[in-house]
Amino acid sequence: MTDDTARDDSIVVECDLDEPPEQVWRALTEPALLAAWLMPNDIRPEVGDRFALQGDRDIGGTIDCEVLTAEPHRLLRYSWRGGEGGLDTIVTFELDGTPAGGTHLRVVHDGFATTAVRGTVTMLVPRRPAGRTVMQSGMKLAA
Amino acid sequence: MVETEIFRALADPTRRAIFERLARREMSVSELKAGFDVSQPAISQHLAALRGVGLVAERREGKFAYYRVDPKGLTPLVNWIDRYRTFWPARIEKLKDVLKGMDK
Repeated sequence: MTDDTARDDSIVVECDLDEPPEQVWRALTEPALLAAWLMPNDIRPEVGDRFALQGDRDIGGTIDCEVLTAEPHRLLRYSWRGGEGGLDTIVTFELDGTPAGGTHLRVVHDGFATTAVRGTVTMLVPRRPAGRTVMQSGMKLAA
Repeated sequence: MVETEIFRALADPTRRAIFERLARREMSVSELKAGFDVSQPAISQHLAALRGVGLVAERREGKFAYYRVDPKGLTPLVNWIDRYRTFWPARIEKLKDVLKGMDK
């Protein structure tokens, strides 16, 4: 997994998987497979489908989702409304086949900080040490 | 959740403008009012909302009150974002295991 600092208001995780995009797509869109690594759910990968991810307390309970984009084996995007009161964010999964027959997966979770809030966060929160881990997200909390 | 309340408190443009001005320096309500086309009671209401979620602190001096930003107020928001920063890499590791266990 590598860092991505292209976007200021998003968390980005990228990795290379050995399995082909078709198989990764199944793990993202079949409820039983998705439940095994993310959360119990009733996903149907069709645009407009509303489903729920049954999150535990540390993630703020149930996450309400709506499929925004579903291009089989390539792109899955859904809204992610979590916690009481529900803050709207969006999760995107991009799948690219690699020459070796695997998949390059890019997960982007954005919308945490609206432009305005980001401004105030930027102003007040001290910068974190950079390059602490390879998982460091692309979000910058200070200018 | 506190984070949601913070986002909600800052969603209002006037309130956000007040917050940003107070981030620069401490001000009284009348000083604050000078820059806005809103009534003093309205300003006071916005200040009450910002204080309610811990973003703004009040200091009283005799009959005067002064307001400033409390930087600690944003901590819950930052922590919330940090949770998701660790959430996704951990889940992707689990996804790798799931993929290994699938029928080809």
